[in-house]
Amino acid sequence: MTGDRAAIVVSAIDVSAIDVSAIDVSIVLITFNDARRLPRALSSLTRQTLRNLEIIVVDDASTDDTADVVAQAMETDSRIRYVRLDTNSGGCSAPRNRGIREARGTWVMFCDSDDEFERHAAKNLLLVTERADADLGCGVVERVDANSGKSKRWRADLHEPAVLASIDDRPDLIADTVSVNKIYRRSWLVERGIDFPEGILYEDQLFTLKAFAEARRICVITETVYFWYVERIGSDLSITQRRHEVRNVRSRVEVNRQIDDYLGARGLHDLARTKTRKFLSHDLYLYLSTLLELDDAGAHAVAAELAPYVATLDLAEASCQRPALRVATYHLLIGDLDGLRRAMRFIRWSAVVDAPIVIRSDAEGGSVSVSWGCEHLDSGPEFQGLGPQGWLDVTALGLDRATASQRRWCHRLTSLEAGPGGWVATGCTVDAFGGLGRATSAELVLVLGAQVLASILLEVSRPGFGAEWQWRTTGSHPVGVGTGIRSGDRGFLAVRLTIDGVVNVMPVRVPESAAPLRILRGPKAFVGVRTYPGEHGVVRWHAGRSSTTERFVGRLRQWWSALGVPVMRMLRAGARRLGERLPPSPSAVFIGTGDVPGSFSGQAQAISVALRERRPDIEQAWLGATSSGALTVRRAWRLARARWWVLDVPLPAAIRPPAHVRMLATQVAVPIVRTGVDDPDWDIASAAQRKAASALPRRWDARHAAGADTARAHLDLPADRVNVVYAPLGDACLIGLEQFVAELGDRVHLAIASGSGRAVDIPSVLRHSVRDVSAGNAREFAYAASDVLITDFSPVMVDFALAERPVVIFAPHFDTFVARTKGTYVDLEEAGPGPITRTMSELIAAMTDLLDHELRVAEPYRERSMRLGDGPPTVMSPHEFVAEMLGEA
Amino acid sequence: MRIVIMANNIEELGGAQRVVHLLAQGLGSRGHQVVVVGVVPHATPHEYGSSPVYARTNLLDRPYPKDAAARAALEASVTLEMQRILDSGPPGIVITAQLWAMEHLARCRLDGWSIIGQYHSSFEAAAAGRDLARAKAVYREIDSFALLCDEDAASFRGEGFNNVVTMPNPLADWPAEASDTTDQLVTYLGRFSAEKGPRFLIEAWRLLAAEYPRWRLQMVGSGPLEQQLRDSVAEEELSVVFLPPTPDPMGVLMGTSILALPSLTEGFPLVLAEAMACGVACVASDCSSGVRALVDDGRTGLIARRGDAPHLAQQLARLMDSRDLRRDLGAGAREAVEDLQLRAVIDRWERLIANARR
Repeated sequence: MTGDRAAIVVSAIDVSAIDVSAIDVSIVLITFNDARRLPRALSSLTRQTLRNLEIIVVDDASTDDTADVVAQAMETDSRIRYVRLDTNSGGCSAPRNRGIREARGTWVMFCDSDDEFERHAAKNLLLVTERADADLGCGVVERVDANSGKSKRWRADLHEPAVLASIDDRPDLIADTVSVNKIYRRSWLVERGIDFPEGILYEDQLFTLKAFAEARRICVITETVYFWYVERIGSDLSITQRRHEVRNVRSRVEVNRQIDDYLGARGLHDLARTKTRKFLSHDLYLYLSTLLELDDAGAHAVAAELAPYVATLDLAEASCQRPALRVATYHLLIGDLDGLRRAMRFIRWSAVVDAPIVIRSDAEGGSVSVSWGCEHLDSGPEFQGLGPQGWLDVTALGLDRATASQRRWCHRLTSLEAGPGGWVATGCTVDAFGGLGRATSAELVLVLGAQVLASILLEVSRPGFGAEWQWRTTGSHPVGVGTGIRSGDRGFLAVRLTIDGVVNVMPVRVPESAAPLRILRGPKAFVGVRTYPGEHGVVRWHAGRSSTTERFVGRLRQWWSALGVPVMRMLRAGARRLGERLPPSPSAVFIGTGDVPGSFSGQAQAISVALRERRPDIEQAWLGATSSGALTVRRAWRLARARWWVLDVPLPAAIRPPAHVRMLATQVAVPIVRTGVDDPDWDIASAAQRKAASALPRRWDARHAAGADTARAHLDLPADRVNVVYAPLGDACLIGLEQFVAELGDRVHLAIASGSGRAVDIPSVLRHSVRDVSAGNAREFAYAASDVLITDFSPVMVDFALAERPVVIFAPHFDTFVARTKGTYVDLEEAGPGPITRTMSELIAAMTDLLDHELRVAEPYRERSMRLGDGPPTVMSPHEFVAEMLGEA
Repeated sequence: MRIVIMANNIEELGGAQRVVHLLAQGLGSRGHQVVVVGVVPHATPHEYGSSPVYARTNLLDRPYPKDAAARAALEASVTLEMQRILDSGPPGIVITAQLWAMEHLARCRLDGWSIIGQYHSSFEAAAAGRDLARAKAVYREIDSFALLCDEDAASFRGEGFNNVVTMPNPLADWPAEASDTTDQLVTYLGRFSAEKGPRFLIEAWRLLAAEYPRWRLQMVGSGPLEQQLRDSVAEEELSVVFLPPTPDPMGVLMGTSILALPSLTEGFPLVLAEAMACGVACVASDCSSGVRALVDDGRTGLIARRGDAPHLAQQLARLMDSRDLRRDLGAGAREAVEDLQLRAVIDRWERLIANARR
């Protein structure tokens, strides 16, 4: 964002004409011993597209070259003024207040010496506040990582453009607590006595809150106005640095007290409520998050600062907290640090459960409530009238709904040490879901992608409500080196449990601060183990090489990766040309999204079986629908040699069929969305697509290799809920998952198969009711296992329609897509297999309707046949298809 | 104030040029010292305006040569010539009508000048081609980046342009009275080329002709598809009249009661705005942000799905069936484009210029 400034320089230094009495904006730039970065900030101000401004540099008694730097800038731009405080104030408040007193402009803005103004910031804010005759205007702050240069707009959701009559129109805006992204009417600041409180940290919070509360009309714009350079985004801090957290929390609590006093004194009760909600759901989350990384003394100190303040708040507002944060707040109030950390692990460590959950049922045995198990559940104290049952209720998290393979156990590594003859890892797992005692095996495994590379049985002992485990390696073969781990590999450590025959694999975790790098050395390689910030405490491993041979092999690999691409391209082209010249062999290639037969559609598999029965001599090959870049020589050769291509997906544009090839498409490969081949106005189709479309789009039996029950058991889908598969054409999941689960989660389990096969990221807290099945053959199993299909334009809808299984079309962009973007071959509104929904509420209504009517397909949809291509659809059996393919029909 | 308006060329007969000369005349008549600068001349220059109150000049006296080296040599002298124009008086405002003009201007020293850049196509078109990247290179830092409608402005803002404003193109004339919309005549006014979609209109007419024997369709224009269109009409003896391009579009529009705009792509179609100013009921295809900005379906005109002849026929039939609907939509349309009158748009430009100079 900031890096690629265009090369246009518009400077306007002709200030002799500017009338001092009519300066539009005074920008107060505060600095202290920052001569290095000051020029960047200054130039962002002198380069503003608003020229009619003054820049007041307030120097908090710097001892470096600051004065010289400013003097130099003043020589080329007379709009700059320099003010120096006599003694260092140690904060931002005194310099900014001085700046306000020095200012002569109608409006005031603030800037810090280590940051930058966006080029149009002053003009954008000035024009909009002036037009609305407002007192205050604010825009968006962009946080820039000072090391990587990457930037992110901060809380842009708050900055929908608007003119607010007062803060009551959008109370949530008080979460925008920085002073530098705003413009203030100077006369109003002075009249209302709004200034920065001196002597405390986080002075911005009180200042901006007063400004919001006092402003008559507030303008909000969505443009970025300020670049805030952050030296370290994330929490890669050492323990000594974290000690400062205690002091910071103390200051933050102090500011919050002052804000509460101010709001109370002014009688602004609505705003006070909003602020309390913000504190409980947002600020408190940030402070409590630090507890996992602090040592016990530090954590106790932070808790001791927070607890008394939280107890003074109106805790009725705690109902807005997420359940796990509410549990944490309760433990904070009690003073139970261990319980507090267990709850925070759920929040920070991607929804793992580190406490036994307690399910209470009603008389009929139906589940009525789920509680967070701890010693206080039955006997803990009340706070402001709410007892422990209320505080610890986590029914909304759906923890009881997760099937065995999806349960999020919290496997904690407590130590990793050198032991006799190897290494010893020790950890513990709370029996959160019950049944840990029935585990038939427990192993520590090294996971690489979806593969388990090595495993070692855990020695389990079981004191209390959990299991403690140990892991030993022997000196000669540590960590399974030699069992397939190659240098350069990296993955994570996990525990694999087998309970009642179902396997569950969950990562092993430690606090970020607690695990320095460990190296487990073997004869030929080593495996390093550590955690990285921002990865939910997951313990990573990576394998390095230790011998000269390994280094040599590594060097060779590097050369190949540089040389490989052009060489591969040549070899591929050669293989293709040679293969096409030779007479074709009697072989068939199946082209789909995967590489193994199991990941193709049931149709492709059925054709394969029928073909083998009829002509065992015909060689079969399975090819993923690869882009040209990933096409190997072997694939190019096979494609060139084959006489038949059976398409299980629309043919990728990069693959060109040779002339002798006969192409056939399964139903799944027949596109719903127009490819452009038959439209004279849209000449976008490649020759290959034309040819694919001219291959027969025939309709035939939908049958699956796997039965629904087998598929369901294989995927460990819940048996007591309706299974729904969502298959969007593209990568993006357009369903609002949170809302979907909240409204339908107790009746429906959702599996998501993205169009490209790329995995969709599912929030951990929803994994009890939502699963990704995009990759490999999980997709095909999910199709077989599901009762209902939700899709936008995926051809799978034809399969479901023919099997009379319900289909719901969900496409928020349906109308633009059909009318303006691409269009479909089938008029889905007239002849589609199910209702069309465009919004989440329509989707949920359609799903509820289906559930309430036992998934009955509505009559109009049952009767409809989906017309594809020309002529009436043909239903073929796999054997008929093969006969047609071999020309024997 | 000195105002330089810069365009790729200022002599060709086209929409962008028409707007440039209208704007120059408008600002010139308010007392600004205006000069219109084209980068290259045009083979057959069109004479814009009878008594201009502004100066005109081209930076080059012949088109750019194909040869890269000769081109590069010429570029330097073009920059010098532009610099000479800028330096011949005190700094003021430069308005660049197109990206290519801005790319030329960017090579000059611009101390003291304020710059307003325009883009005359839609965001969709910019994002589909190279224009978005070109605009990012030269238009993000200038004082104001003017788009033709709010939808485009918001889209560019979403791409990190923090200087966008909306500035519609003005109408040259404002008829004193609206068309009475009684003639049973549907008009198409534009080039006969694939992207303007005339064949969808003929197809729609084929569906309507039998039911509406007293209605006629007039196709005004010329272009590569002309013969093809004439042939298909002759085959079925449809009630369609072909007329050559007109120098007086408003005159033609005043005598018509429905305008059809079946385009597949558009920017901010001037002919639609002109028809609306005449109080003519319009059916336009949903093909651009500009069309959506002008036509509020059912209030200031009717929207047809893009490239969908049956739907176009259906919407035309609604208007042909009801004189009341034509009159209501016509009145709504005329009111909707009142802000596009030359005076109002020049007022907006003067405000924009004043803000750019602050």
